[in-house]
Amino acid sequence: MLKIKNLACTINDTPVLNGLNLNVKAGEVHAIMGPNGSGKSTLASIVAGDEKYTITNGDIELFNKSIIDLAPELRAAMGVFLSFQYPVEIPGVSVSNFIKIAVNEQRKHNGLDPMGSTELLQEMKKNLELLKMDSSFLSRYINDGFSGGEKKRNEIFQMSMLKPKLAILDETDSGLDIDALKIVANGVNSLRSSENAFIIITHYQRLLNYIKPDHVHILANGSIVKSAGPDLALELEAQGYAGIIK
Amino acid sequence: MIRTEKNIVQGNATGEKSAEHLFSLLKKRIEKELNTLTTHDSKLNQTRIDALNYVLKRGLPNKKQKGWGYTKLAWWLEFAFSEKSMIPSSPAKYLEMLPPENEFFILVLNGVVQKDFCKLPSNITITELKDLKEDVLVDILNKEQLKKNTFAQLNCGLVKNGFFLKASANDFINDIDILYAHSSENKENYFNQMHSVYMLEENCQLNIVERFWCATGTHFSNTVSQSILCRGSKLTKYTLGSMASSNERCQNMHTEFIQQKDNSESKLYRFYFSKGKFKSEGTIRNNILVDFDGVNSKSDTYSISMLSKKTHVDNNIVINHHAPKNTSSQIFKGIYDDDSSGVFDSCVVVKKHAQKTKTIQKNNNILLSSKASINTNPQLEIFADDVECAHGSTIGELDQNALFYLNSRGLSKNAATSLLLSGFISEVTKMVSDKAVKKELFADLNKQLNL
Ligand SMILES: Nc1ncnc2c1ncn2[C@@H]1O[C@H](COP(=O)(O)OP(=O)(O)OP(=O)(O)O)[C@@H](O)[C@H]1O
Ligand SMILES: [Mg+2]
Repeated sequence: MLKIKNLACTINDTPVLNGLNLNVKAGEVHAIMGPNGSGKSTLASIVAGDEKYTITNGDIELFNKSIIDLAPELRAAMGVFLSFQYPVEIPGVSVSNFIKIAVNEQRKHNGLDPMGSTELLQEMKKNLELLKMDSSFLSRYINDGFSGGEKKRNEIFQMSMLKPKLAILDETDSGLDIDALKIVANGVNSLRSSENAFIIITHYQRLLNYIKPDHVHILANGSIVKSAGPDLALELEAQGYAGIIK
Repeated sequence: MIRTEKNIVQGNATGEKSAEHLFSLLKKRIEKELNTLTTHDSKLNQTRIDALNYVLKRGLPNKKQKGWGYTKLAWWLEFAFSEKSMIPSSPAKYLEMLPPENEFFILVLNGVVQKDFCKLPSNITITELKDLKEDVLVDILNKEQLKKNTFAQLNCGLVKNGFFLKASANDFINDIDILYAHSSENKENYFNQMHSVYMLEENCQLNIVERFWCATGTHFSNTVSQSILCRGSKLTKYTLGSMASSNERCQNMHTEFIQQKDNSESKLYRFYFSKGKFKSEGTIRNNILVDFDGVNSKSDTYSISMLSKKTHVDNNIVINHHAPKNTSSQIFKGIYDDDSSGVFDSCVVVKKHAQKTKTIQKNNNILLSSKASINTNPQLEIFADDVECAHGSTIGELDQNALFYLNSRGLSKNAATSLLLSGFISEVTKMVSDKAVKKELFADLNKQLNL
């Protein structure tokens, strides 16, 4: 599904990623761990299409098609979703209105008829229930005055509405209490299928207890320095990065 | 004035010479008027003479004058100082510009109320200025509060057209649409002086919606509106656009004076867009003056300027809390594209006896182009000690992180920008309760936002 080949990029002329390779197949869950500042969020943003970064080398392919020249909204329409490490506050725009626009913009791109308001509202209520969120969320402004944990839940709520093919969760577990962590993990697990894939960026092994990854990668200094099975996360938790990154 | 090539060459938008030239033309116009006024001695004529002499003494405002740092009179206004009254043939066609669902309306054509094209409920009367008793007219033109305002004085000295609208209490709220139109048959330059008065008697409620339609040409509108809110009365006034609508060679000076007695409520909405049905493309200067003379009253002013090209909107506001226990709020939002510009110059004055005053002053701006500009200056002058005052201004650009957030969820650049901007102005748009206005407002907004 996703093939990242020898990717290098800079931001404001500072190199961040250098020669990163990653291969994600449909149905898989990949965990990415790595020290602060190693480039995890950069990788996530660049796949989603953030134009702040300049790609200096390599390529990103989604469904065997290069996407590096595609605008973020076109990638979203292809099925890319990024759960932000720091979700942005947008005063004056309600969650429900935004989701309605987002769902229908994506449907339009894919040649589908817009979903009606009633149908959408039903779907929203169903997903909110699954995530144990109050329906009053819908009329609140996007992330405006949300607590840290509420912002992360709101990201997963949007994911559940947009049903992406490739979901990248950037530290979605940070800021969640233990119950919320389980709820969010359930939300992710309920979306898992042989058709879609997840990239989960996290600092802690805990989330991976609930969402079993197929592969764990360590990103350091702008490239993936080690890849292995789920046990790598346990190993890291015990030893830290010192033993693994030279 | 006759428009000739020579005049155009002489003009210089910034030069002192052109300001002097403009004043000399205005002076001629004023002196002609003074000659007529002095032939007959009356209280009314004396009031007008005093007003015009004030203008002659003060001259036209210049950059160095407080409150006039950012709005200048353009040289092409010289063509406009030829006051002509033009009555076009078919006033009826202008009525089509009003929303059909509204029952009551007033048509004002080239400054003149068209009696045959007005429909009003029984508790509302409208009288043209020329038909008012002399005492009443003198009272209007002699208002102390307008005496330090050059353009209001110019209006008081010269004005012939206008109306006095009186609303008495009734069981229902009256919604009245007013269309100010300027002849389309005539492309002549136009100097419009109008003075309207709204007298709200005790406990009555009035909703006014003002719309404007202006033919092409050079216009200078210098209008004054006074509203007197007696005890317990409520006024809501929507101003959708301005007379400075047809092109950048239009200038609109407007003075809005509101006087509030006990337990009264005023709500002003002013919308300026460079595109859509209510577009404004010229230079607009608003002087908004609210006086609280009684207690337990409220005044809210909401405004959105969403401008492009060279459109300029200058809001100069003074809210005087003379008496205790009154609440005032100002929420002004500005979005500026291209070479457009705005001014928010507002002062809330809380007098010594005005304890328990509450006031909010808010001005938020987004600049969409590097050539656009905004000058914002919220001020408070407080002489009482038991008051709640909040004020603040912000100037920013579109938040790139927010744009990417919306893009990444599938919204195109345009859709994302529109959504961000509509969120930015929602603090004002959500306060619009009139259904017809809301519909037109959103249609206009969508046009402006390219939705
Ligand atoms: N605008 C910028 N200008 C310069 N450097 C930047 C900018 N944005 C990010 N960087 C740098 O890029 C590097 C990678 O940042 P990134 O956010 O991808 O790290 P991360 O792995 O997600 O870290 P964390 O675990 O703390 O979230 C960091 O060194 C950061 O300082
Ligand atoms: Mg990060």
